[in-house]
Amino acid sequence: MPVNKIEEKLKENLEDAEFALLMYYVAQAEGERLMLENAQLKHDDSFGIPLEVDRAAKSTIRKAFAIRDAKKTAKEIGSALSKVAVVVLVFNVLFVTLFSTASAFRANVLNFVYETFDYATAITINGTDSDKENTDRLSSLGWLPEGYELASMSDWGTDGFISEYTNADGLRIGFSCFADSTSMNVDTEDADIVMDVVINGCDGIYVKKGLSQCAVWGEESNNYIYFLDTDAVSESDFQTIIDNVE
Amino acid sequence: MIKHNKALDENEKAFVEILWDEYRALMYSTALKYSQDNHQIQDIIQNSLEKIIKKVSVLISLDRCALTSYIVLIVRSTSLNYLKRAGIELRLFIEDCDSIMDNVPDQSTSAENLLIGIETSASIQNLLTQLSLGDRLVLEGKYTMELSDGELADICGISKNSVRMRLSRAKKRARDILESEDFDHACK
Repeated sequence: MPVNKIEEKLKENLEDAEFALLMYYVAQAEGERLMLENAQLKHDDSFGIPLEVDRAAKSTIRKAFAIRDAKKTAKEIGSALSKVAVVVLVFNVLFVTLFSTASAFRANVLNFVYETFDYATAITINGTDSDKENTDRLSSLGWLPEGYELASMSDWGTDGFISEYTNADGLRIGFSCFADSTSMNVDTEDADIVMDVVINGCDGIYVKKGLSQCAVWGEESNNYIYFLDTDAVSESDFQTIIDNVE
Repeated sequence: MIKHNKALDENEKAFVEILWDEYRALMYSTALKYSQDNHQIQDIIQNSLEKIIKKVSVLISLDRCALTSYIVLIVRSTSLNYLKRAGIELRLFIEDCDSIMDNVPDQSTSAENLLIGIETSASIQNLLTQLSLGDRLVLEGKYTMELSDGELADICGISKNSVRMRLSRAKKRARDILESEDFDHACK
């Protein structure tokens, strides 16, 4: 870079630094004034926020975080699949050989693929990205421990949903569904329990790691993958939840 | 159990929920300065919250004064942007109605001179009073909110190519205001 360009760039940096500092002082001064204004508004009985504005704002927060969670999950799954040399484990050869005579079960197994990495297990539904005409899938849990109720639900119709149930203590149970060619990356590294389960007639996996428990299962007929997770309920309650999924 | 840090996400969600509880009066009152229509205000607040959520990792690190300023800046810029999209034009920049501004920014003032005395709230209030809405928006957007040129162009309703010029002009005017204040002090 020519010397005059370097000098120009350094001057520009210096100017940016001085204005950043100037605007920092402005923000501090404005912040003090605005904090005072906020306190006055909060204690002003004649100033109220319409209920619909408050409700819409809270709903925006819930939805925005649900969408962000879904995007992060999808990104991680994509990242895991691209980085790791995939060891595809369609259960195992013996298992497939033994049960390959049952066509329905074979289809189920072959569409619902476990991929085991050193730090996680990815579970994939190999769908066809079909255009589903109706939402023929689960949308809620059949049983919940006492005190839990639906706190948020982002429903994308045939593309799935993300829902969250919470109790008065803020403890949560998450229940989500994703459609077609979706992969779910489950942390099985050093897990206490990793076991195959059948939920609502579908093959799945149950994982317990510390207080966290999750179950992931795939619905072969519609190419949906379901994810249930919580760190707030006992093993027996979790078992009852999955026993009542239908 | 999903690999991304769910605890961090939950903290951020809780942070935004607390933020809304704490600042909803101020956010509503700020939006009210730009529109009296409740539906418009609702939209402005929803859009502002979406921007707050995008910047949540920055907001969490701010002290209370800076945080309060930042939230109001977001609502203000969202309001202006919303009005512009609704076809309501505001004269944000002095040169939009007065073309006497120099095109070449004056950089004669040193950094030390610019900041002398600015810590006093009177100087800051003077600066804020004298700067146009557009100049404030572009300076606060660039240096307080650390927006990109594209984001600045969007909130100011100008093209991305003219952001640098707007910024240079705003800086020149800020400098002029602070210099004239120094001159006034010197005369007294």
